[in-house]
Amino acid sequence: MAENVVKIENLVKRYGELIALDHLDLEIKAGEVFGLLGPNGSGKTTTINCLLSLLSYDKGSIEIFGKKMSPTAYDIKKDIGIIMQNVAVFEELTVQENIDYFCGLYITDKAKRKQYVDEAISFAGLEDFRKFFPKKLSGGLLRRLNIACGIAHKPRLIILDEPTVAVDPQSRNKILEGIEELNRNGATIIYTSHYMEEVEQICTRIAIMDKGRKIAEGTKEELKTMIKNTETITVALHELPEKVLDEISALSHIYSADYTDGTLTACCSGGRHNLIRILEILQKNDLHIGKVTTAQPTLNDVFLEITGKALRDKED
Amino acid sequence: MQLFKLFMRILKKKLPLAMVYVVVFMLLCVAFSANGDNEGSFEESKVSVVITDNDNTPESKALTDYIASRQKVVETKIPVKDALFYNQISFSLTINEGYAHRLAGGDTEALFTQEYVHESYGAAYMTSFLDEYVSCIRAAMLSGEDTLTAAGSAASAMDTAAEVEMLSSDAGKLTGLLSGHGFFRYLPYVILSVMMMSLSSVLISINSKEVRYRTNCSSVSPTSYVMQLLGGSVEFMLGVWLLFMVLGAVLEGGFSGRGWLQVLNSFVFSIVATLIAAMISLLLRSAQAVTLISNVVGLAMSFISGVFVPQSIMNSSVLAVGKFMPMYWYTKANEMIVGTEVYHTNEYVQCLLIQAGFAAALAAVTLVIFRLKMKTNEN
Repeated sequence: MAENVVKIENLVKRYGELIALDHLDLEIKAGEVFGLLGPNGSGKTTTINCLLSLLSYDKGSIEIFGKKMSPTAYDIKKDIGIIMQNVAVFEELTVQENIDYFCGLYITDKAKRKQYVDEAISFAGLEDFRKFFPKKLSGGLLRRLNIACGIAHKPRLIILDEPTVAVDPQSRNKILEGIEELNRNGATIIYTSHYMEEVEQICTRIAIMDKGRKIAEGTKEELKTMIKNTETITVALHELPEKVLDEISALSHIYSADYTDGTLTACCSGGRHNLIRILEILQKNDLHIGKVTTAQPTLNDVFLEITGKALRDKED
Repeated sequence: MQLFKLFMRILKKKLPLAMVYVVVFMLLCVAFSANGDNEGSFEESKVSVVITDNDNTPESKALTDYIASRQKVVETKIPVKDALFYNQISFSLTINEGYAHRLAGGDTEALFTQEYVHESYGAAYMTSFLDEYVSCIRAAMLSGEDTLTAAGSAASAMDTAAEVEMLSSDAGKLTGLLSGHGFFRYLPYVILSVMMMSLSSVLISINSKEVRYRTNCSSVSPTSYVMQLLGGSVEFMLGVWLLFMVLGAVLEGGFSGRGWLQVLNSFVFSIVATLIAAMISLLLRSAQAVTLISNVVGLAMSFISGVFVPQSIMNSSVLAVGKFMPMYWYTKANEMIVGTEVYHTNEYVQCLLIQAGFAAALAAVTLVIFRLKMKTNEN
């Protein structure tokens, strides 16, 4: 069994009357890409700030790499990389100088640092922009520079706080591929995002937070089993008599059936051959069947059902 | 030392703008020095006079010769009125016919005909000069001398002049930079501007919320963070101060005597200026605002403190406000050293100590703001 890279126990953080973190427990194993999901104000950023010892907390304990995390735990900090939503680079320094500076906060050996900086530049695909100042870079390149600055020192734990906000699709794909590569190279990743498809694509385990509490945790498959819906079937029809709709609704494992704008939508909860049984009823009633689709629940469905709210674009 | 190196690297990018101040200041100092060479000596000015002698007697000749020895007697080819209008002459004197005869008879009326520009300095001076000359002749004649001998006696009596000594040159004790003390007078404004334009911008950049977040996550301790920035700031302050001292010494030929007191005074003020720049960097969010703020703070403080206008001629209520500025105490010390005010060692030391007090207060306030900002970012 993989060792714990992060272990948070019973963490409580209060801002006056407001409880930002309410007895939070989290365990993140080595080699995981751990997704932290939650609506605005759910406590994701507070969790990360406590994890990094940038915020004090009222109760609980945090261990990273098996050691107690504290503001002066520099031996732990040197193995952590942080990439925030906002680009944190110096306008006055070139791409190479920026990466060299941030790498130099951890790596003092010059030769080693030079090698690491070159590798980070190559990793981020910034070879042609070494001498460029940040102002001259596009939004996507700037994000890649931001990531390069955070990972140049080869940390064992990388925290990415919404790194793809306001990034074009091409750059986003490049960033996601990069995160997967970092993970393949042995880094444990903590990833927060509002983009469900990103989390679904790269995270091996996910925790959903709301109001400072962890309300669900598991692999995406495990999370999907936590909700009622297991399959959504849609069938395009010219017409659907009321009695046929009632017949479909009465099928076992169909908990909701609806006909709107020429489309029958049936939500299933468990059961097998639901689609075949619906199509049999439609054929028996001589109805002309158009396009048929069947969809598994997404993480978004899980999130909506569990939290009762949609994710928004801004962080808490 | 990564932060220290970063400090120097960013500083290099910010320096050119600040150097504009240094270059302009040095050019002005060169100009001041070139014009200030005569400041230690005194020379009596002379009035340009045109003389027409219609009497042609030994007495009128004696007057003409005496005026020539004291004033600048000129000839004009254009009419006298035009010469006066075009400022070619300041005074026209016509010795009327019968001058010697009237003088011998004790009649001092209608001896001369004068033309001059109304209310001009030269006219007032020459009128007074002639009145004094005639009075002296009359006094000599009353003691029994004849007119011609009395003219000689009058000339001798009027040649007695007060000896003039320039106080600011302090009998040769203050030389070099002090001879045209504009350098040290305007220095605080330039030092403060350079510090704010460069140091504040550098610190704003390094302390910006995003990059500081990243730095705080690293293995650099807060103590090391502050110490490295402090080291960079102190090195820069020393560099700027030394640059000015070297440039000043090259320009004016070195320091001597009380000149070293000015050097010390400027050093203490440089510390204050560094702390002002550091404090401003914590109060501003954007480096773009630095230019505006440095101009406002630098100029306002300089005007109120008497950098541009000597404190001795400033309004007392303005000076009362100025006492709350460190620059006021720098200027007060400087004015004592250059002799604009009477020098007392005790008062000079007091000025230095007050500046040091300002430095301590600014350091404390800066640290408090820094800690508050850290706390705010934490929450």
